Amino acid sequence: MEEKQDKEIQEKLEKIIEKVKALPTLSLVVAKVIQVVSNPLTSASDLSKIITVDQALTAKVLRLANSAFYGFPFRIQNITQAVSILGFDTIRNLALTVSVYKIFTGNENTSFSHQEFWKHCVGVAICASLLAKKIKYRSVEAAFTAGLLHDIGKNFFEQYMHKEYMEVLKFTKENKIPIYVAEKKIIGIDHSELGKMMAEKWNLPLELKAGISSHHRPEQETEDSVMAYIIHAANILCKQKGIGFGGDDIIEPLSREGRLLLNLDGTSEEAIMNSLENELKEAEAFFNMPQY
Amino acid sequence: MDNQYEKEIKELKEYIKNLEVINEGLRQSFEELTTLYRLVDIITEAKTLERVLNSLLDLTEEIISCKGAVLFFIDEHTHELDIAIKRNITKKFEQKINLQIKNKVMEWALTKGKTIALPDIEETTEDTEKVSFVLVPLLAHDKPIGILDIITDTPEGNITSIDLSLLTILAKQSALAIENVKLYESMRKDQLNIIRALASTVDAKDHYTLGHSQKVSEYSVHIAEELKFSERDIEIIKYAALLHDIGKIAIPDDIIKKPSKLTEAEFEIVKKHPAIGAKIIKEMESLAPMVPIILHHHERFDGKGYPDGLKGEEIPIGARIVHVADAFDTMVSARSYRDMLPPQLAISELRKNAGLQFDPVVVDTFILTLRKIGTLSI
Repeated sequence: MEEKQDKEIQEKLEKIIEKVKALPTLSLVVAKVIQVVSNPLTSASDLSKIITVDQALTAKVLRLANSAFYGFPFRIQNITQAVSILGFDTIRNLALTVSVYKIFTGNENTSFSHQEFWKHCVGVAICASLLAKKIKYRSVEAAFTAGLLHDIGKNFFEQYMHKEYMEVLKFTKENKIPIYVAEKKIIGIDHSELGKMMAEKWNLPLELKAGISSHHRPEQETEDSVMAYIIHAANILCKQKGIGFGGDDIIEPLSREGRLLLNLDGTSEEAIMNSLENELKEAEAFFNMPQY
Repeated sequence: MDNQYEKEIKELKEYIKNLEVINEGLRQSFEELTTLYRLVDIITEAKTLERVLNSLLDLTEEIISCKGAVLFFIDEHTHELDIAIKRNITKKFEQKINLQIKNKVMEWALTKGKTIALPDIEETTEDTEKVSFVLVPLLAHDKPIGILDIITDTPEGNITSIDLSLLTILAKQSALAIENVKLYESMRKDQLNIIRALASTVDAKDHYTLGHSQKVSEYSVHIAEELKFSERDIEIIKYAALLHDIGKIAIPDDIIKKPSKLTEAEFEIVKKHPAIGAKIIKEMESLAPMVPIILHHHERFDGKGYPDGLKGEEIPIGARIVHVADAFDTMVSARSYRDMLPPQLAISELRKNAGLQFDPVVVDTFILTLRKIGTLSI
């Protein structure tokens, strides 16, 4: 009996791996963007030349750049201006996020409220950027993006394994367990493990991969444990605050190491929560990311 | 065979080309690091606010082609932007910058704490040359304290990411340096106020001596300047002279204000004031260099003074100077026990006692400075 189950899971996993392999690649444009931004001699025009090749991407990036979230007092007219004003990292990450979610566009059969799921991702993104700023992590922008993308594995499950995922959600609710435990039990792999495979497939920058793959087990992260703890803590804080819905209501405690690393205590936690609430109000443009 | 060679040569050439690219990258990184190191070094070495601000603008000009620049400080209370320093700001530039303030672009950059490159937001047809702007917030310990607005002829799209990073780091270091200098200056101001407060306690004890400490200080500074003392030594003598009689606060009022000649016993008590003063001032570490001057300002050149009976060069030069200045101002002021002496007569007294009570060089120098400042008409 056990053996049979194991074999079933093994087969399932192989199928999933096949599916991840078959995922569309990120556009060539985004790959170039990532490469060019890492060169310090890049100018805003250089970056603009690359992005504007893709008209749809250009329009989306401009729409986000002009959203209330960034709140720049003037209309940003073109990508060059967007880069000059919002910065190279911001534009790189906007382009990246837009491209990743483009892959999950047009998915009608949702298993949980999209609006609430997005609110959760945006909440974690903002919270992560606040934490990153607090501890002077090397890229606040990357923390924001990692937050937006941290549950990308769930999007995959939802789109490609819809029936099983409905079961996962039901099982989670009935047994009052964390969703990643249910995923592991029913599908055999959880959303962070799957996210890691996706990050590898798309060659996402290391820090984003760390946030996606280790946000439930930051102590196991080997490449960027700070980012893993940032996303881990941001996830917990957002759940505590009841921002959006990521699939379960289980609030796990933040470990001592996590608190120490992020220099978090009651007072600083409250300060972050307050800023989070304010910034979330301005972040609506991000709520409908896949529809962009 | 030839083909094999050609292939190898081609591969080698490719290899060399790659090495050259890597080398160029390394060279550039090294250059950036050197620039960065220099920036930080220059800024942290600047000791006055003026120096910090000027260095900031000088270094900015090295990083980016600069048509003009203005640095604003944020007023802590009103949160308004006040100009701290500006360079080559024409009327036209001023208008454009005011527009940025009015339209909250500056505010935006400050809230985000981000260095941004900006196109000219209201280019008019009268503008013959195209300019763009770089706004660099100055953050000290994450708190915005000011913002640098750079006007450049480099189009905003051509500014590289390394230039923006360098400007950001420069601004960060400048902000810290500015905070340090301001802290230092405010501590100094506090210290000077403490010194003045101490000095006025002596003057308050005896209204006849009102302003005496101030006068002695001024005379002493004139002498020290004439003798080409260093700036620091002049400062030490300035404040030591201001505090030279501080020990008198421990001498009973009836002795200090006695209208007639002191008895020997009373004079013994008065003679304690330099040592008491030295003891009081010793308590403040930063005032330590003033202690010898205060302690020995009643020593005589011939060794007959007090408290230690030091002689000639044994007496610290600062104390010899204060001694002369003190004697002169005492003579030309009214005292409870006698009327004031005309300056001319006081000078003759100094001359008469040069080499006995007073250092003759100091007396000569003093007379010279009195002529210069017009206290003496001859």
